[in-house]
Amino acid sequence: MSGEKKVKRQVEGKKKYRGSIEAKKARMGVLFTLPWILGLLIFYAYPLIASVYYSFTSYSVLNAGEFVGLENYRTLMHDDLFWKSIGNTLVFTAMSVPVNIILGLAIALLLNVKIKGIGLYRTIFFIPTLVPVVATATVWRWLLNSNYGLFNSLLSKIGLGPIPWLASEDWSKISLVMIAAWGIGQAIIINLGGLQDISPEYYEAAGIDGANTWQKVKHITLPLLTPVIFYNLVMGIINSLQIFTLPYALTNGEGSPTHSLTFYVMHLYNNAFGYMKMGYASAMAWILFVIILILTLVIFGTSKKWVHYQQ
Amino acid sequence: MKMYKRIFAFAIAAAMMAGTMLGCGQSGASGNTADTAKPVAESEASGGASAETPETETAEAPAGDAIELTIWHTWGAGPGLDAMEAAANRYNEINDKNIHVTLGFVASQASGNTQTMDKLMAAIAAGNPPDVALLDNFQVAGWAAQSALMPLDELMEGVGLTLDDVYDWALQGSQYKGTTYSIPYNGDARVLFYNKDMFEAAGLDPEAPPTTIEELTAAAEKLTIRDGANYKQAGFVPWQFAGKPVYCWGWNFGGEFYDAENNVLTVADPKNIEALQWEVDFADQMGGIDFVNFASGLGTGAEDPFVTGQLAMAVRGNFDIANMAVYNPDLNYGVTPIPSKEAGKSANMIGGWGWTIPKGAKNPEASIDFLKYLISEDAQKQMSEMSSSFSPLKSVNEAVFADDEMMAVFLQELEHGKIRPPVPVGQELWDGLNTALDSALHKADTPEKLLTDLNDKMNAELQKFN
Repeated sequence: MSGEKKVKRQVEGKKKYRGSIEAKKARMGVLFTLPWILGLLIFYAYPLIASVYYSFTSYSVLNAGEFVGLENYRTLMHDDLFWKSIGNTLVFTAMSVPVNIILGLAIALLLNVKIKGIGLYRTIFFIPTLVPVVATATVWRWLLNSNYGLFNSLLSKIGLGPIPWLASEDWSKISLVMIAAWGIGQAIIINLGGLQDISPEYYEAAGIDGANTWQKVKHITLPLLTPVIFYNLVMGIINSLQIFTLPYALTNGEGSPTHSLTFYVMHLYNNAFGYMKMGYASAMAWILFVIILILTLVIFGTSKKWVHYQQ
Repeated sequence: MKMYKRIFAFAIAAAMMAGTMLGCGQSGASGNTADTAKPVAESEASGGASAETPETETAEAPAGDAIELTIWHTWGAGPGLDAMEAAANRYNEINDKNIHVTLGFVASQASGNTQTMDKLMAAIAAGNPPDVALLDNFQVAGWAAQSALMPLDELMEGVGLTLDDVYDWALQGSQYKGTTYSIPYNGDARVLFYNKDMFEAAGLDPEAPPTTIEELTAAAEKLTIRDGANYKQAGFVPWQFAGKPVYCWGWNFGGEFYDAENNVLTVADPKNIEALQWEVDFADQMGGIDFVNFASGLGTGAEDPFVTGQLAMAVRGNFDIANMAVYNPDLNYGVTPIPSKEAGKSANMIGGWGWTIPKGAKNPEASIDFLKYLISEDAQKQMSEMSSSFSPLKSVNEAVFADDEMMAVFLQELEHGKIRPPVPVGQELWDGLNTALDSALHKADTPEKLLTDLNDKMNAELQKFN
């Protein structure tokens, strides 16, 4: 139905048939979406807006606290761990997102070939994303244990190590990126969807012109996949900036060694629920929101230059 | 081809459904674990005899029906929980006030952390708290300072309950600014465990364990066997287990962390700095960063380095004995007071839990009756016997552990044990000390700077509660 017609009918409906079937349908529609709307308003919109106010108070959940103006924000500026956690989070994001995008793309390309049992391979790559994060963390903590871990045990067989995977500041973030890469199944699926959306005609035409596989990937696949890469990039950054469960479970909430695995949301969580400083934590949440907003806007701004939409 | 696609689609669909059910999306935020850690209000805890959910007991219930009490705790399965359940069952049987208590395990949202009770916080804020909640005693002050707990003195008077017979540490951990906010439930002490066979092998006298810091360091040196960056065996790791974070060694160097009279934290006490410096020097002596890395990779449970004979000495609590018996019943070890800087001035950290009544709870009178039972000699004896945990009542410990040679060392330590400063910033201070220790060992800064900064920061926080 064309938009014009729809509008016309709605206008007519309002004019002539007040309380008619159309209006009733609209009422029923609202009624049926009401649970969702209420849920959104009560459990998302209200806390969101309330946290703006709380960020200017000494709210502790248990106590309303007092209005303290910009005090929380001022204190944050002098909170070493706040800065360290921002640094950690940005470094991790800068390391993890490119790794996940490149790896996700490479694996998706491999999983897009037509061979026997491809469904099985695709499933295998998706399965790790189904493991609860806490379980993943527990398993990896053992794999990367510097004394009894599988990794160091294998390394010692070829005369290397021991590498202090999770025990040293130099290695801890690399280890975390490695563990986080375990969960790229979701991105692979989206990439695969994008790949299958590319019309085979392009490849056929390129093939007739004598393009080899690499040329096809470079000039057809990658450009046409940019909307999907763009999506993965934006979501990857947002998720990485909010990383919590994995490092929390991996370090028992301590972010050790030397807070190299204390990420922004972990510091926020400790303040909110450990130290009962919900006002302070609310201020932190809004600063994170602004950081995410700016980064997302920047990426959106650059997208015109490199994201190609298929007509 | 189609077939594969269909299988693939099915696998994905099934996977996503499983994902939804497990509540393990990839959002990365704390929401993930929320679903898997739902509070279990009704529990098999009460023995099934009357396991009604609280909902069935509404206001319409005619007079004479049982008063239902809901108790929240964070303890996972084990002898401690068994003992708690036994006490609840026994109380349900014998109390003449028609009170029925139900235990509920309320896990923290994130990981197995037993200290962060975000659900309790939300329940109190929402005006619908449990009747009783179990808290670690160093956290009582924090909750009390937020007016989240009921003062108990009047309620106690009403049922004729006093805390006159409990140890000093138990009383201190129950009070904030002179008001009682919790009824102590149990306690645990720390001592030096040492492996007698390893002592013998290293040419040390297994019947003469170290008593001073100097002797401890010397013995550790003899007991450490290195192979490049690898350690075949370590003598001692000061910051391992109950030696963490800085309390244990600060006290054993003669330092204090809190001046109760002036309500000021004294984290930067020169003796505490000396203690932390000793830990750093100790690491250097044993191999520097290699040793620190080795220590951070030491395991737990069956891989516990003391159990496996990888570590000759360790500061540990009575709660570790059971684990050793399970994983290595033949382990030939002894216990002795933690070595101190000055001979005979051993100090140790007593941990313990206490029962609190959250503000807004509906049945404080019934609750205090239950708590009075829990601190009674009878209940305490059962608790101690079943869980090998110490009672806040000296008389009970003496009766239960009278014939145990090893326990005698603990009982002696309970007499002068110390607790973490009972201040409202206890949790943040604990985390801060861990950070200071970690930073000192990794040479991020000097112990003096780290402890001074922490002291300034935490005193500023503490002042906000005055």
